[in-house]
Amino acid sequence: MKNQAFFAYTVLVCALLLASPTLFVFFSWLSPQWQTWQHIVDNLLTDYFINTFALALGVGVFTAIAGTLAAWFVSQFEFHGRKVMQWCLLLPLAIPAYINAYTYSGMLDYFGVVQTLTRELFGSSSWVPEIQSLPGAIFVMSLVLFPYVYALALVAFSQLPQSHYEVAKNHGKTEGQFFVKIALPLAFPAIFAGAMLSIMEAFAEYGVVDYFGVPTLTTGVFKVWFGMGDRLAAAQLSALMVSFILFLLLLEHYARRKQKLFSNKVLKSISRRPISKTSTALGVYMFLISLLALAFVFPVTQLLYWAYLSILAQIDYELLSLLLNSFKVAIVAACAVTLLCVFMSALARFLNRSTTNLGIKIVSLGYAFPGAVIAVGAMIVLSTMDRQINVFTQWLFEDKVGLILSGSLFALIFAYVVRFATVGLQYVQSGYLTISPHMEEAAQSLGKSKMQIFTKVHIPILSPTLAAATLVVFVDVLKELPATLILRPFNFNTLSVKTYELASDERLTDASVPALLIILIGLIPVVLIGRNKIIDA
Amino acid sequence: MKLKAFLLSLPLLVTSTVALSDELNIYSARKEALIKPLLDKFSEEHNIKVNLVTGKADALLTRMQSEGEFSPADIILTTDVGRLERAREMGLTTPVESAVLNQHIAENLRHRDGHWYALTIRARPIMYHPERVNPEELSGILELAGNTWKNRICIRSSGNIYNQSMIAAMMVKYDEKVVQDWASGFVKNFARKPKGGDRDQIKAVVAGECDIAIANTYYLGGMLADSNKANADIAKQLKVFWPDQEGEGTHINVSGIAAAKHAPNAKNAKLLMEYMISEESQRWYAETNHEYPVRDGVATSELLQGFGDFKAEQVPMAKVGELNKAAVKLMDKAGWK
Repeated sequence: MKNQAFFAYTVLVCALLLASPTLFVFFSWLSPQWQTWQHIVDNLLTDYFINTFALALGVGVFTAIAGTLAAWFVSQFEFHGRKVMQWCLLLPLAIPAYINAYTYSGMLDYFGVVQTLTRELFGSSSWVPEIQSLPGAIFVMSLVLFPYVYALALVAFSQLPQSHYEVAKNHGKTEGQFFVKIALPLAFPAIFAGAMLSIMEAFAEYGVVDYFGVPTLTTGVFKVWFGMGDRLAAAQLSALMVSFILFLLLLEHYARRKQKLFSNKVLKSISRRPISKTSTALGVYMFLISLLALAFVFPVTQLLYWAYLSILAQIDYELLSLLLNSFKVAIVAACAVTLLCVFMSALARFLNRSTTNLGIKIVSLGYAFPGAVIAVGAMIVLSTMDRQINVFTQWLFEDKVGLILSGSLFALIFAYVVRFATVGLQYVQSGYLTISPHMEEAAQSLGKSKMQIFTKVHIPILSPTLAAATLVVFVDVLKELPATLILRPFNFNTLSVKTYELASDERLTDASVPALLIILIGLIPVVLIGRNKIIDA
Repeated sequence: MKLKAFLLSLPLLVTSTVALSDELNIYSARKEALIKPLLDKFSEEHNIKVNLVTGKADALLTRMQSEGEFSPADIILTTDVGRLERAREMGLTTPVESAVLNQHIAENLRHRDGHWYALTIRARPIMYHPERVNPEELSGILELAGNTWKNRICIRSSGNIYNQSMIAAMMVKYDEKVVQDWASGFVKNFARKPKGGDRDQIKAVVAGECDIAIANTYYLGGMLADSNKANADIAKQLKVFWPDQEGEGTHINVSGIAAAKHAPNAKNAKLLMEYMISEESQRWYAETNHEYPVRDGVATSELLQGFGDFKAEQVPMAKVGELNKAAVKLMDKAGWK
């Protein structure tokens, strides 16, 4: 029992350490900046609220629908090209949202390929929708975010037992009824978790909304911080923003509590069936292909064209070192996140205490903060520690060791872990939901230790989810920009930094080469997973 | 095996120590491509190892602030005077006395005690479509609030630092009330809600969404020199108009340099600052981003000469930096999104 308490507090301490950069943001409210707030409330807040919620809602709904339907078709039906489609639908994850925004702007603006073509064909291009708008922001963000829902829903659908389907069929239920009445409720926690990730990302997104001129709470944070030089008020604004996420997480917690439904790996999952009606099959094809085209093929083609125009000027050793750097930090951070999340989730599972669950909730907040806010939080925490270390070594050896934490890659990895632990946890936790406690009880009654239950029961069942989590975090880190920009040490650049530097000078043609490389490395884990059929439950 | 080797290499990966021999550490808000070649040359000529980290200005300043006296930074390079001035206000800079710098940099382009020095000038003129706008119609920025410009103006959002500095400079030149009234009228003349970057405003003029745009010259320059010829073809269709030539002069901003307060290599820092003002450095540094050199007698690039000469406003840059916050508030009140 004593041991249990020890572990429970270990989790909590881990959680608090990871949450320290974000907690720091909440403490900013200890000295409210009323004057700046007066100005924000009078002139800005209404716009910020409307746009932020519209964006979050739009992205949440769009990703949930697209991701769920795509996962449903791919997991349940047999059709030509299904396997390729299954992993291709993960590809859009590799595209950074702001690159997608720039690329779609390039395609859809007056001089872009779409308007030029329509002018040539129909004489006018005025009906082409304006991409630099709120709906446009929802569109470009949803396209890169729906794979979150897709990946989680795919795992959930693939673990539905054949017996459920047969029972439904024997009761005369149609495919549609089975999907709505049985499959959807069972997969709901997974879908919700994926949609939550998208929503958090929508809350925290800066690049897209800033470029499209859609003022949200996040652009507000930067306006107050950079424009007005009021760091405290900026922190307060992001604390406010995160309170909404907190509310959503509580909702989710509530939703999950009601959904204690487990499926077991031992049961045979539903075998895929052919689509009977030709029109339905056509509809499914149309849906999947247009989703993939919009989310991946079109933007990547545009980038390839730009790269073709500028590549000769850019191939050099620097590009190679950027590639290696990106790869290095992404893989270290992804492994760290997954290990940490499994560790915390496993302990939470065995202990089932409010302290551990609280710890996990705290860590889950990281994703909702704009990356830059996390980075600054991490920087302040680490450099405070560094200063103490230096004061100490100066006293001890009369020499200072320098900024060993905040001035090294440690800071970067730490910030990545803080920010993306949420992603890992969403995956691992929803994976744990599919493990029935009966299996643990059975193992326990066979005299297996907790460690054995973990390695022999949990890990095999979780492995597809773990692989998916590592993949997603790897790609997320690869794309990550604000924290990388703020915390990286001297002479250390990554592909995303390079892409940003060119794109922010609006040199899109030149930015396309590093941007494509990000996508290319992002493809490696996707292809690996596709080939090994890890998510092919 | 591979995994083991990988794990063993982890500690190497995450700790990097900065040696303190003949080095120079730079925090730069100016993009790597626009500074690195010059630093490499400096490094070679003076046998000093230069360490560089780039980022957004305010983030770098926050980083320095939290590093405090242990900050390794010797030099801050940043665009926009607002940031230079903010660095000084935050107590991150130290005055540098240099006859060379004082000789070549005009008084309004440097801090009075030498806390920071401008290195290049960037101008923000009007760009117009010659088929739809007669340059006779144009005069000063203040005149753009008039009714004749209804639905004809494109400019990016108020979150953008170039706009913030432009308004701050106006607040130095004119009464706040005048600027506030002007801003309300000006915003009403926008052809569309502000969005996109400076290049997008230029494109919008050519696309016919608006007749004039306000943008920094180096965006037009960047488009003209773009590896994508389509961009050059678009940019060619616009002409540059230098506003306020009869009055105060066209709005300019600067990119600049400052020495860090706790610089461990202060001597090298000064060396670099003086290196940056040499004729050769000035030419390259300005030309590479289509900006104007601060040093007299250094020719501007051919591309910029095509835009014509202009009279720049003479407002004290430090004052512009101080007024940044007030400018943001003024724009918010005017409904400039």
